[in-house]
Amino acid sequence: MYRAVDTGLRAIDVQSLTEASQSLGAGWLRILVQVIIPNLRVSLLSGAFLTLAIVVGEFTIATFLARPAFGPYISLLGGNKAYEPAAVSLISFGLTWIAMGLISLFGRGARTRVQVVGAR
Amino acid sequence: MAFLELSGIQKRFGETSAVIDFNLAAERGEFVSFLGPSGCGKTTTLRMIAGFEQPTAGTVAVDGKDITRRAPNQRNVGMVFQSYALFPNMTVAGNVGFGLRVRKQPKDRVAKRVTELLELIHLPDKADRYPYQLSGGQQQRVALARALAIEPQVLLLDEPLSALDAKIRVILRNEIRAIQRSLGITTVYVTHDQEEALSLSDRIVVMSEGRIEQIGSPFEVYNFPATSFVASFVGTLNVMTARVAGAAEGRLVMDGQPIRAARPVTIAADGANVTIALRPEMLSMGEAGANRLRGTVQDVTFLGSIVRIRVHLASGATVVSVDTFNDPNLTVPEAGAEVTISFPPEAVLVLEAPPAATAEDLIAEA
Repeated sequence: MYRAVDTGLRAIDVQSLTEASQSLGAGWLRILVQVIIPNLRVSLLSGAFLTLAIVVGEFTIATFLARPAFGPYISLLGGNKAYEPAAVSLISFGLTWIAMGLISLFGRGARTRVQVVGAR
Repeated sequence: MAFLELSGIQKRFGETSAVIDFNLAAERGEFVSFLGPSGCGKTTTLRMIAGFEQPTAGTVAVDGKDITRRAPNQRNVGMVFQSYALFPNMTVAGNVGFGLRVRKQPKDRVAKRVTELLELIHLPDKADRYPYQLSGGQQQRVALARALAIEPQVLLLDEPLSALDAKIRVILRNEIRAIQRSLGITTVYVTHDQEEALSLSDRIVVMSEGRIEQIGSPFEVYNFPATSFVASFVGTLNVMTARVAGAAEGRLVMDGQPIRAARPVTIAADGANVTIALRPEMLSMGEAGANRLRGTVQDVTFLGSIVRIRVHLASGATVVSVDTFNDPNLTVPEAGAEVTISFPPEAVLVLEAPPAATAEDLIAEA
């Protein structure tokens, strides 16, 4: 998540955009909500989907949760059933792929929208 | 009282001084340029007017009000950046109207003002485009409209044309000047391009290493440079050292050859060395002027409308550039040819008696 947002911040010229907004009279909240976050939309979404894809298959942390989770459920099924774990694993695999697909879908739309800034 | 006043501005970043004792008083509606090489403190000074940097000492006042400690968003100063800094998530209309929406103007007023400004910058049909769909020149026009939308007291432009190609630069330069004149807005323009500064400004502030070298109209700065730095930075002056032979009559000896200045030398006594400057366009080949220097042609450069001929003076130590207008009938001397350069006494600018190192540096650069 951090890497994705970091890359997003590097792709836009945050300093100039902030300064431009300030010179137009905007305060920090407006700058954040109307300028910075909309331009980080793609990175935030990519980060979120990537995290989701990783978390779906996560077992160790999930076993410590008080609530039942997907990872431990596969493991539990694997203990006493033959076919279900394979099916659930395939579903988890599919979910990961869907998340990846969504990243590239949103990423493609936005790549052209990132402003190419001139030399500073 | 001046409209924009910078008094005793200093800026230090740790140990280094970026701006030293900067004083400027600009009148309402004046177009002032800060001209200097990279790192001379011109952008830092501009950013202090905008409020993005706090001066270490000194005050910034607009229309009699001290705004030194005011936040950038409380200043009503419009800024145009070299990198355009348009909001990529907003359309052209969204960008131009941003400042008005911040000021909570009613929607119909915002729309009306956006339409007016887009007509002013000749992009009335681009309101719904996104910045990435526009060319560099168009983006910078939108950035200008966005800065003008809030009717700022002062308009600041930070090398706005540096990222554009040569032709667009000239077109946009003229447009900026026309818009500035029609709105009568006080403008500060930062550039390292002397041609831009000379063509746009009412006054130019020439800066070097954080200090002001000279403030004057383009005419004054070009024709009467106050220091050897100004002389070498503005235009392509020949800067060289001469010895004073007769201060009262303006007699000098350069490269062992006698020359004469139009005015008496007041800054140095007989026998002392002074820095003099000769404008390439004031020199000509042949024996026409009162001052004559013998030398050998080193090389000839074709620059379109002018032809620059570099001549080694007799001693071989000094190289002088001579500019002549291009003309199909022009006979250009060959490299190695023996020539005489001549110029009127008015072409000799006696600048200062510099420390030896500076003069040598300048000669090496020239």
